[in-house]
This record gives sequence, structure tokens and C-alpha cells, in this order.
Amino acid sequence: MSLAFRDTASVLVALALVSVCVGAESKGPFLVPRDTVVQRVKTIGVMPLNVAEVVPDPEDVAARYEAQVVTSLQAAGFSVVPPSAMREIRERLKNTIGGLYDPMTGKPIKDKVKAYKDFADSEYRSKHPVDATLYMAVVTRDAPMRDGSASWDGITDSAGLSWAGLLGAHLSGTAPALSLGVLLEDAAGDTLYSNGGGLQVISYTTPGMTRFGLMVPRVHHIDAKYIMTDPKRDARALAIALGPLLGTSDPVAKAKIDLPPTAVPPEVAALRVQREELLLKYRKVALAPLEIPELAQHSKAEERYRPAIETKLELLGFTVVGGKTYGELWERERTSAGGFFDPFTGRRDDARLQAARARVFKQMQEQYGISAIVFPSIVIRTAQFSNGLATWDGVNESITHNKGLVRFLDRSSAASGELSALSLEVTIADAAGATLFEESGGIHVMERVSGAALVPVPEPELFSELTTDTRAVDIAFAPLVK
Amino acid sequence: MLCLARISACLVLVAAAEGAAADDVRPTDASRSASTVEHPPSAAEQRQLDYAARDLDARLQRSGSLYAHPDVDAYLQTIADKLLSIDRAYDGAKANVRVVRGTSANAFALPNGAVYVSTGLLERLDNEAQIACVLGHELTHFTHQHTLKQQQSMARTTVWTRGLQLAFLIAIGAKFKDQQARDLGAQVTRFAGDLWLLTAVSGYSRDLEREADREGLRRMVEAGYDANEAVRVFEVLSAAADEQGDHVPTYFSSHPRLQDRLASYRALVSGEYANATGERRFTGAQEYRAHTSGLRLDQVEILIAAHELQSAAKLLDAEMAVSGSARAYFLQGELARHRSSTPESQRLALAAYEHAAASPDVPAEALRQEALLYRARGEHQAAVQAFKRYLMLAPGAIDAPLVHEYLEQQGADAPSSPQGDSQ
Repeated sequence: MSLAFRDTASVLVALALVSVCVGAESKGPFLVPRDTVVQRVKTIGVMPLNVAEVVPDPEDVAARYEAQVVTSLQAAGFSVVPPSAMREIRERLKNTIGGLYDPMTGKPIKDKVKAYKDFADSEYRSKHPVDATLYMAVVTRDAPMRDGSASWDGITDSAGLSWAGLLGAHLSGTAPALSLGVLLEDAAGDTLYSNGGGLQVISYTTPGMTRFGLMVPRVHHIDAKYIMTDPKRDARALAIALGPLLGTSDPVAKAKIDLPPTAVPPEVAALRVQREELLLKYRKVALAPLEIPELAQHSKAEERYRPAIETKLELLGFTVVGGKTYGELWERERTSAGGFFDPFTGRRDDARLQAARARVFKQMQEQYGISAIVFPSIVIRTAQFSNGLATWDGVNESITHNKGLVRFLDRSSAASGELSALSLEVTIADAAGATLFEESGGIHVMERVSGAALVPVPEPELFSELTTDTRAVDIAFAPLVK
Repeated sequence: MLCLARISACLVLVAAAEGAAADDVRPTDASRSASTVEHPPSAAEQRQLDYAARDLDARLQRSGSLYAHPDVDAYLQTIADKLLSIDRAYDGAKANVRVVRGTSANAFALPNGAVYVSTGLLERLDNEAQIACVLGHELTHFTHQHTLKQQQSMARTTVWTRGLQLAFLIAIGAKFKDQQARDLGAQVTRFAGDLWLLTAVSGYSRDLEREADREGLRRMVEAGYDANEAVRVFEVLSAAADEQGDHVPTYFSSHPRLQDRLASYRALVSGEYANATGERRFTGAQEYRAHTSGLRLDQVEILIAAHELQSAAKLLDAEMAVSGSARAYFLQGELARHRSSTPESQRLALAAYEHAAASPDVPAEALRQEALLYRARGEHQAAVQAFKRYLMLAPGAIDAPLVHEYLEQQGADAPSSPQGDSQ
């Protein structure tokens, strides 16, 4: 799946889905009458399916859908240029241009992506002069949810609660969901048809009960194993999205399908070896530089966390050696390796990364006699919030600015859901790269609730309080404290 | 419901306050400040203001929103320095002028002296005196600590600030119509908690705006510029606002307010500054044109990227009436290509690219687009010729491997050296 096309088609389809929903009452999926479409369009070029990142095995999903779409269009009397035609062009061009991602960062190189897209379009148009092009994408949508049912793009999915209503809990809001979107464009680039078929929710909220009998909202995530793996859901989404274009009205579109199972995250212990063993066998450690997502305060965070972590490690009985040598050696290794990201997929090459880490470890071992390396990083987590508080990685934090009675009366306090938050994650690894310890401590929410919307916390507020730094370090190292 | 009720209430309060001020459009005594700073900023407050301004600057640079033409930046900086040096009281104060890409007319100043002006505003102005008027206004926001005053005033009404914040966010969202400006808006609104920054962009209280108008005009006049040009700034932009309907330039916030300020400027220029007009005063039309010569075509490109094709076409027509450069023809091709993929649009685009290609200073991009269009139409011989010339001009282009592969497929040799002639 190529990023450039995934973006373009997904944006096209997502925009089209919004306009279809807005104008569903008046226009329906056709922007010109169906008869005109059938008259003007004899050959359709079907583009490869773009699949949202949350879906596991996108290649399998694409192959399954594309085959069904081609068969359906042919059965309806259209000539079809299959998605493999464009896929072949894209694969060849990607190889010729040497991949689309920066090996140092794993991010797409904008100019390369544009060139690749322009050349692929031009070649496809010269080889396959089709009357219309069908773009397809599996996209994420916010499905309106009311009293345990989410309804969007022609379907209603149960969110799995019935007893809660009896207790007076009426949860309303949105649930993240998946839809299959399709968009048919003529050779001049004008949209002829666009439609969406709902697939499934990927998480939803139900009321839960605390041990003190208080009602709290609970977010349930559908197990990744059950995301887009049900053929009945495939058939229903396809029937809804393409039915009007094909001139079919399939009863499967109305079929009600049970909600797939939710995932229960596995419990992973912070300590992978005995605490005493860790403190005895791995006393001499090097501290790697703080890894941090793209935030403006990188140097500030590094300046604040490094001494705090060093102090904590020493209090726990470790000896931190090498100062910033590990960081310098690592940077040299990374540069000489030309980065660790695959230029063709943008994914990190963990085997090469591990080999490089082992080389640097060896140098540090020879120079300073280290037995382990401590890797601290600032990571973005998903925190659940309700009753005005967000909870994640051992921390509860207010999600509004209001206090006292004003906070109580604020509608924000009644809202619940998920937001982004920052945590300090600490990993200790041995010479072979095996994890000996891993734990996180919450730092700060990255968003707050204002009215019915999530508003980003201003960056100057992040890492602005020493107490939150200290708290995060304390929580992250807590399992090592006797 | 409670939250919505709060927002409505505070909007009514703001509207009432503004309405009261709008009744009085007479220029006020120049020596009287619109408001005073209640207390000097604390060290922490100052640090936060400085940090946020530097951070916004860094974000804009990272996002690619800055126009980044050192010559234009330096020219505007010279004007700003001249305007700042008028007052001894602000000796040592340093402003940094930057230009941001945007289709609408925008300008704002941050409390650390960073002043941002949009290409959409610069393109609409005619001379140096006019940009001096805009800069004089923005510099007054900086030198008179308007953000601090606004912040302190807001701090008194903390109960309402959340509602106000939302109202500003909505207002900014509504005003930033084009993509570049939306990006800018997104950068700004990431500071959602910093109301002062939102007001710096969306406008201060009427009293503070009036103080900035008055002091800005005084600076402009004392620097030797023709005061009449200040009125023309508002006339030009008022006409642009009329043309664009609801697409009112953000700098002037709202139509009644624009008319109000125009009346205020006219009163000042015909009264207090009646002697600061006419031929003996400096307008700097030639200087402005010389320093912003490439801006109009850059703006066409910005408008095309924002898919504001009608505005782009109008501006391009105006430019082509004076000079039909190779770049202008290239942009004419781009305009046709972005309008539609119909055979007629393709024909128009190709004609424009070919016109550009006939010029010795053809942009490489014109040859590339020409080649891609020919190729899509199956006219491979023409595509090969255009690609060969493209490689001559841009041998190290990022897509050079793709061009080489295509030439190979067509059995054509790649050009041997950038200096040679492939035709």
C-alpha cells in the first residue's frame, strides 16, 4: 500500500462521504443521474484499495475487496481495468525512485511522493484510457452513538449494553468506526458517484460500575483480530456502498451482525527479571539520550529529565557512567548506518537497529564496563477521561481549567472519552538487547475538554512544572523501589 | 447547555462594549493612551510570552508557511526599523518582520516584536507608504504592550475566558478560509489557552486598535510618508472585501469595523495630518515594486495551491497584461490543468507550457508538466523531447530516475550534459 495514494484517495473518499451524509436526503450517492453514468461509462479503472492504519493485514483486506468489486462491476456490465494495473506501475516506480521514505526518520519525502504520484498517473492514463476511475478506501469515521447503538453509513451496530438504560445511564456521543467509501470520477475529474457502507465500530463506551457503586464510563476496544475479518460485514458494506451504482438492492445490506469481541490488554510486569537480580547484576549502566516526539521543547525536556533520572538511578543503587558518551556514539553509528528505516515501507528495521545497538553497547562496555543501558523516552499515550479527570500511567489529572463549583457545573465534567497524554517510559536493556525492565509514569495531558471539544494544551505549558517531572520519574521507577 | 449560555452571554457583553465604542469615531488625543498596563509583566509572564512567540515562529518555519524571501524580509525590516526609530522611548526595542504565505490579507504582531505580514496583504498594496501604515499599526501593538493589556484585562474576567476562548477559536476558524491561512490558524490555535495570542491575530479591543491606528499613522507621517496612503490602504482593502463577499480579509476583522476605521483615518488625515500629504511626501511606489517584483506570480502560485482559481486567474491576467514571462505562461498552464482534466483544459495547459518552453528562461517545472501531459495523451515523441529538456535544466531533480526510465522505455538517449542542446 503506497502512502501517496493512500492519502489522496482516502481524503477524496472521506470528503465525499461527508458530502453524501450532508446531502443524503436530497441527492443520494449520484451526482449525475444513474442512466447518464451507465450511458457514459463503459470502462472503469479500479484503483487499489486504501486501508486505514488501524486495520491489520491491509494487503489481505485489499486483495479480498478488490476481487469482489471487480467481479461485481463486471457482472453489472462494465469493462474493468483491475487494480493490479495501477499497482504494477506504482511498485515499479517506487523501485526506480528508490523508495519514498527517509531512512533516517521513517517519514515520507514529500517531493519524491509527488513525483511518484505524477508519473504513475501519467503512465496509467497513457496505457489505460478509461471512461471513469473508481477510488476506494476503508476510512475511519465518527459514528453517532446513542443509548448503546451506533448508526452510520447505512448500518446500525450495537454497542452491547441494554441493562444500563434501566439504571438511567444514557450514553450519547460518537464511536470511532470504519466505513468502505467509494468514489467514481470521470476522465475530466468530475465526481459521478460517491457512497459509503458502514463496516464496524472499533471502540465504544458503556457505563461501568466502580466497587463503591458509582457509575463510570468504560471504553472498550474491539480486538484487532476481529477488525475487518468478517465476510458478512464485507458483503454488507460492499452492498451498501456499490449497490446503487450496480443497480442491485441486496437484502444482505439490511443484515444485523453481532458486535465482535473486545480486546483485554495483556498484563505485562514491569520487571522481567527479579528486582534483586537487576540491582545486583546490572549495577553499572549508561543513560541513553531522551527520545521525544516532535515537540518544540526537546532540549528543555532533555535538560530536565536527564539529571532527574540519573539521580533516581543512583538512589536506587545503580552507577551511571559515560555521561553523554552513549548519545555521541549512537549518533555516529546511526549516521554511518544511514538510518534504520526502510525507504520502501517507512517501517523501522529492528534487526539492523538491534545490531547497531549491540555495537555501541560493546564500545561502552569496553570503555566503561557497563552491564545495561537505560533508555528513557517521552511517549504519547491514550488516556481515558471521565468526571473531569484523565487517568493513565499512574496519574489522575484535571481535564478542565475550572475549579470548585464552576468545574462541577461545567458540561466538560460530564464528558467522557479518550485523549492524548504524555508519559515518561523507561526501559532497561542488557547487552543482547533483552528488556530487563519497562515502566511508564504519566506526565501531562496534551488535550483538555472545552465545552464539547478537545482543545490542545499550549506547548509552553508542557514540561513547565518540576513536580510533574519528578512525579513521572518516581512512578516510572516505582517497581524498582523496595 | 450551561456552556453555550455562557458563550452567548459573553458575546453579548463584547458586542455591547464594541457597539458603545463604535458610536464615537472622533480621533482621540494622541498623547492619551487607550489603557494602561496594570502592573509590569512578572518574569514568568514575560518568559511565557517570549517563549510562545519564539515557538510560533519556529512552528511557522517548520510548517513551510513562511514566504522566506530574504530580500523582501530585509526591505520590510528596514521600514520597520525606520518606524521604530521615530520614538526615542523605544530605543533598544527590536522588531522582526516576517512574511507568511497566505491568500487573505493578514498582519499581526506578537509581544516579543515578531511581526507577521501575509503575501495576500503585500500583493494588494501599491507602495512603501502603504506597508509603512500597516507596519506602524502593528509595531504600536508591540511597543504599547497591547497583548499584555489585553491579557491583564482578560484575567479580570476569568469566569468568562473559556467561553471567550471558544468564541475566538470559532471566529478564527471562520476567518481563515484558504489552506495556507488555515495552516497558520492551526498553528495559532494550538495555543488555545493563550488568549493574548488569539487576540493578537483576530484583533484587540476597539480602544487598543484605535490607539494602534493613531500611533501608527503618527509614526508613518514622522518617517516622511504621504499620510493619504494610509487612507488608500483601507480603500483598497475595503474594495477587496466588497469583491470577495464574506471572504473579508482577516486584518480588518469585519466590515462595519473596517468602515469605522476608514472614517477614523480620513478624519485624522484631513485634520491633524492635512499638511502631511501631497507630492512632497514620500510614497515609494518604485521601491516597493522593485522589492516585491516576484510577489504577484508567487501569489498566483499560492492561490492555485489553495484552489482559489478564480482569484488566481484574475491576478495572473493582471500580471500578463504587463509582462508575459515564461513563469507567467507556466502558471497559466497550471491554472488550466487544475481547472479540469477535459481535453480542452489539457489543450490550453499544453499551449501555455509550450509558450513557456519557447522562452530561454523556461522554468524546469513547465517542461516536466508539459512532458507528463504529452505522455498521458500518448504523444510520446513530444513527451520525450520535453523530458530531455527538463533533464538538461534539472539533471539532479528528484524524479530524474523516473525520467531516465521512461526515456529508456521509449528508446531515447538521455541528454549527455546540462549545457548541450537536445533538440
